Amino acid sequence: MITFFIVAAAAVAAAIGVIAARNAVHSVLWLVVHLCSLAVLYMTLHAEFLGLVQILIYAGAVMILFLFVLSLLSARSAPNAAAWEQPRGQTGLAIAAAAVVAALVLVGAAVGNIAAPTQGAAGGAAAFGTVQTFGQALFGPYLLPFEGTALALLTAIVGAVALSAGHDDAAGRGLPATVAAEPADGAPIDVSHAAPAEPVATGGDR
Amino acid sequence: MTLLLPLAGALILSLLRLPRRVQGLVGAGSILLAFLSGLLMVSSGGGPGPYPFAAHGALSQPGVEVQLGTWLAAGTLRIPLGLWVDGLTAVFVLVITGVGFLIHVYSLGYMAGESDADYGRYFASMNLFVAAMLLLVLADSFPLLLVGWAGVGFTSYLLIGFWYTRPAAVVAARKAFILNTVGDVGLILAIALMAARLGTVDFTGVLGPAGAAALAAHPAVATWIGLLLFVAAAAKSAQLPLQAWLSDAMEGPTPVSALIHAATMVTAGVYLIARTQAVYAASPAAAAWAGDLGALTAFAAATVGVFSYDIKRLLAYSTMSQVGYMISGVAFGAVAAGVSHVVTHAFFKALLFMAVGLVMHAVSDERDMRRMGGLARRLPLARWGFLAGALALAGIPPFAGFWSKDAVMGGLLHGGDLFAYALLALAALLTPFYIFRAYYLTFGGKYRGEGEVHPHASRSLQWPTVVLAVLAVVGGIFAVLLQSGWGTALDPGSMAISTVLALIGWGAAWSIYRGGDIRADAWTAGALGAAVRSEYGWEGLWQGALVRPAHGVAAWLLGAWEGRAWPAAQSATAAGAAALGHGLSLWQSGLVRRYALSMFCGAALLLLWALVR
Amino acid sequence: MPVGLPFYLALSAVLFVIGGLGVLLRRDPLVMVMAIELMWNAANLAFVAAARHYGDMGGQVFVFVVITVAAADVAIGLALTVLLGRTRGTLDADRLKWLRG
Repeated sequence: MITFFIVAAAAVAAAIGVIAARNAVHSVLWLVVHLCSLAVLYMTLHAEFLGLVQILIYAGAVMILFLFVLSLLSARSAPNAAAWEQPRGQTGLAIAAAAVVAALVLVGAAVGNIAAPTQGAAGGAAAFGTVQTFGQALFGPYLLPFEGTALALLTAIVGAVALSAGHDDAAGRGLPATVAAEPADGAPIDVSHAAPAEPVATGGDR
Repeated sequence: MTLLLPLAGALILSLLRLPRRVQGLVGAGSILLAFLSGLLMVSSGGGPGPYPFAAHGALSQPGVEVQLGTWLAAGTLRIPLGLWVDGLTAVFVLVITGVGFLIHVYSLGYMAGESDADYGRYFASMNLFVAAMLLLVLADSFPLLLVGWAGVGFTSYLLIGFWYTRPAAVVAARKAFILNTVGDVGLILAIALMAARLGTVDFTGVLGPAGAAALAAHPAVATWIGLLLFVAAAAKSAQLPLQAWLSDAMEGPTPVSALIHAATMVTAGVYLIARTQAVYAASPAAAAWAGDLGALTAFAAATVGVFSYDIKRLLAYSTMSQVGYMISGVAFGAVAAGVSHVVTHAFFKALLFMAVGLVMHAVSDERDMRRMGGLARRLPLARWGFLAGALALAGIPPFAGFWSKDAVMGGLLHGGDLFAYALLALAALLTPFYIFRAYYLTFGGKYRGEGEVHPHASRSLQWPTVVLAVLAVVGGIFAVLLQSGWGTALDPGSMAISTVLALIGWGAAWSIYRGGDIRADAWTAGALGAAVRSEYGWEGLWQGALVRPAHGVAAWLLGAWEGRAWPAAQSATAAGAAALGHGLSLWQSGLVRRYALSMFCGAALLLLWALVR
Repeated sequence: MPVGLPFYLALSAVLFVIGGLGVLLRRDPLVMVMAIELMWNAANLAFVAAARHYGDMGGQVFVFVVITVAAADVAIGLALTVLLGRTRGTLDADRLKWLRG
C-alpha cells in the first residue's frame, strides 16, 4: 500500500517532468525515472518478467536510442523559449479534453462495475506471473501474436533504415522536392464545372 | 453439350480475331456439332437415365430433368438450375440446330460480301442466338426459360440491326426489341404470379400433378397466368396485338429472317404454350383467347400477304399467319399438330427465304415483286426451291405443310371452337393464293426490273437450299411420325376439306397470274390495298395511342424537368458541397498537434458514450 | 492490504492524460514521441493490473506485444525525426504543415 503510493507519486512526477522539461535531454532522463518506477509497480503486480523487460528494453535500449538521436539533432532543436507557444485555442481545448478523459476514466474506475477477482488469482497462486508461466502463455496460446511482433520489428528495421539512410546519396529526390513543388497556398477548389448542363437537343426519328 | 457448343462458338467468334475461313468454320461447325450431340441426346439419353424417345417413339413420355444445382433460394421459393428434356424439347432442339446449321451454311455464301469484322460479328450473333434459343427450350424452370427468352430477343435485336448504318434497320431492330420487351414483361408477371400463388416456378411444380391441382382449384389464377403467358408468346411469335415488329424485321439479312423469323424464334411462343398445356387445360378462357387471337392473326396476316409487293414482307406475313395456326392449335390442345407444324414450317419457310435470298442476290437486293418477273429460267434453283416451298406452304398434298396444317385444322374441328376453325379455313384459302401470286409474279412472265440479272450462287448457297427443298417435299413424314407418336390420328374428312381449299386458292392464283403479267395485279393497287398493306392502319393506331402521348410527356419532361428543375437542383447541390468543403478545409490546418487534439477529443467522446450508454 | 484495481486504473488514467497533454502542447517532435511513450506505458499499467486482478496471463502477453510495437514505433518515429531535421532544418512541429488543406 505504502509502496504503491510512493511509486505512483514518483511515476506521476516523472511524467510531468518529461513533458515539462525545457531541455529534451532532461525529458529523456525523467522518462527513465518514470519507466523504472513503472517497472517497480509491475514487480508488485507479479509481472516479474515484464518488469525486467521494462528496465532492459525501455529504460535501457530505447532511451539510449533517444539520446543518440538527441545528440545527432541537438543543433536543430526547437528554440527553447518557444517550447510552449501554441496555436490559437490549443491550450484550452487540450486541457479541457484531457480533463474530460481523466474525469471519465476516474469515474469509470470508481463507479464502474469491476468484476470480482477470479478465483485463485488474488489468493496468490504462487506460480502466477513467473517467467515460466509467462513463457508458457507466450509460446502456447499466444504464439501467433508473438510471431507477429517479430514481423513488426522487421518492418520497423527496414523502415527506419530506408528512411534515415535512403535520402543522403539521392539529394533532390524524395520529400523536399515533392514539397517544393506544391503551391504556396492551396487554391480553392474549382467549382465551375458545376454549372448547369445544356439541355439535350431534341431529336430522334421516332 | 448441345447448349454449350454454340455458346462457345459465339465466345470464340466475338473475342478472337480470326481469319474469315476459320470464322465460318467455327460458326457453322459449332451448330453442326450441336445438332449431332442433340441427335445423340435424343437417341441415347439426355441425362443420367436414357431418354426413351427412339425406343418407343412416344413423345408424351415424361421428361428427364438434369439438375445442375440451385440457382437461388429465397424463403420457400427455390429456383433450380437445370435442364429438362422431353419429346417437346427434343423436337425443338433438333429443329433449331438442324435447320440452324443449314442456314449457317447458307450464310457462309450469303454474307461473303461483308468485311472480315462484320463476318465474324454476324456468326457470333447467330451462334449466340442459337445458344439462347436452346437455353429457352432446355430450361427446366420459368426463370431460366426467361433467360433464354430475353437472350433470344436481344440477339434478334443484334441481327435485325446487323446493317447498323441503315436507319430503317436500326428502327426495325429497336421496334422488335421494344415489342419483345412487352412480352418479357408478360412472362415476368406470369412468373411472379406463379411464385406468389403456387409457390414454385419450376416445370415440375407448376406443370406437374401438384401444380395442375392448384390451378384447377383457382381458375382465376390459371386464367391470369395463361393470359400473361400468351402476351409473352404473342410478342415473341408476332401475334395480334403485338405483331407489328415482324414485317419490319425483314430489314435484317435474309438468312437471319430465315433462322429467326421463320424457323426458330417466332416458334418460341408456340413452345411456351405447348409447354404450359397444364395452365391452358385449367383455364378454357385463356385457351380460347390465345387460340382465337392466333386464328385471327392467321387470317389477318394472310390478307395482308395477298396485297404485299415486297416479297420478304410477304413471307413475313405468311410466317405470322402460319405461326397463328400453330398458336391456335396448341392453345386448343392440338399440341402434336401445332408442334409438327413448327417442324414443317421450319423446313419450307426457311426454304422460301433461301430462295428469295438467291433471287435478291441476283437482282441486286431488289425486294419489290413488281420489278421482278421472268426469273424462272435465269434462276432454276431458286425457282424450283420456291415452288417446293410454296407447295408445302399452300398445303397441297403430299408436300410437308399439308400434313401438319391439316392436322391443326382437324384438331380444331374436333376439339376447338368453330370461330377459330372458320378463320383458319379462310386463311387456308388465302395462303395458296398469295404464295402463288408471289411465285408467278417473281418467276413467270418477263423481267420488269432495270438492273442486270446476275445469277451467282456459290455452293454453300446451293446445297442447303436443295436439302431443305427435299425436306419440304418429304418432310410431312416427320409430321405424321410426330403425331402418331403423340397418339393423334389423321382425319380424312378434314384432309379432304383442306385439300379442296388449297386447290381452290391455287387455282384462283393460277387463273389470274399464270402469265406472270403485272397488269393482272392492278386490283391490289387501290385504296383498299394500301389500307391492308399498312396492316389495317395498325401502325397509325400505335402512333396515335402510344407514341405521340409518350413524345408529349417526354417533351414536357425535357423542358420543365431537365431544362429547369434539375439544373437548379444540381447547382444547389454543387454549391452546398463547395461550401461544406471550404468549411471543412479550415480544419485541415496541417498542424499535427491540431490533428492529435481532434483524436483526443474523439477519444473523450467515445469514453463518454461508453459510460452513458 | 493489497491495492485494488481501481487505484491502478486511476493512476493509469492520470499518466495517460499527462502523456496526451505532452503530445498536444509541446512543439518538439522528440518530446512528442516521448509523450507518446508515456501514453503507451499508461495503457500497459492498466493491462498488467487487470491481468493480476483476473489472474489471466493474456494481459501480460499483450503488454509484451505492446512493448515490442512501441519499440518499433520509437524506431520509426525517431527515423522520421532525424529525416525531418536533416531535410527541413527545423524540429518545430508547427512549421511542418504541408498537409494544410
